[in-house]
Amino acid sequence: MDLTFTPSPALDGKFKIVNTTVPIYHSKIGKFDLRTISAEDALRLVKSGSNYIKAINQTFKTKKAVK
Amino acid sequence: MAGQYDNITDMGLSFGDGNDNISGVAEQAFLIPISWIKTMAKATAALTSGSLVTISGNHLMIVGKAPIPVATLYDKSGITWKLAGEKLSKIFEQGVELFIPENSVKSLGTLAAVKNYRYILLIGKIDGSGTFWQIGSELISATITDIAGGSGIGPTGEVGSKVTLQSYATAPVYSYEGDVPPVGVAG
Repeated sequence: MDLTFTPSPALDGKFKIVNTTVPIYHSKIGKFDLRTISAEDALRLVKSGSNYIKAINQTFKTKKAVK
Repeated sequence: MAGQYDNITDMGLSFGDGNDNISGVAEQAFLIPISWIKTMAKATAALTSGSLVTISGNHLMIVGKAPIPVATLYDKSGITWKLAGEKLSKIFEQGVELFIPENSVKSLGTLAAVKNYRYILLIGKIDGSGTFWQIGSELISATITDIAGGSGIGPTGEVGSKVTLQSYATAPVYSYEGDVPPVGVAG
């Protein structure tokens, strides 16, 4: 399904938005707008184990949820 | 969720002297229709008493769906719980009041749309942790039991709507510590 918004230019070629079509994201590490998010914050979200933003062709250690 | 829990090295009821202990909830809530959820996180195996009520995973929406943000008024919103049921068959009745202090066509139209869904509700904690209280679960949903409001009367009247939800659970309330799925508007 297509996004309902234009993603931040900082994501181009480095990160991909998945599992959502909308931009306002209240993650456990803070609130972000995927239309304006920086590459640094995108990387923090990837490392936090986000279901909604993935790195392209990069590997990061992500935090697992504490059971 | 809870079955029998009897870890005597862990259970306790206490207050930490000097702790902040602020009443109320944050002014941000999310209504999430259960039928819009692809994967619902839940409290995991009871290793500690806290784990009986802690949801640390992430709820995941069906693609194309999103939580409905609700911007509430601090002074008039909150959650409650109390025991219900007969002797030795108790369950907690959970209640929520959300006051939305405006009568915009967007808010009124949203109230018209949301009245007949089965939900979980996430509402921000006031402690600054960035985590949420959750009302309702995959076992028993929260439903809207009342929406009451008006224009207010005269210069001191109250404008807006109070939305009341109710659910039942084996715990007083759940602590949701995962991500809130992205939303389309700020709320």
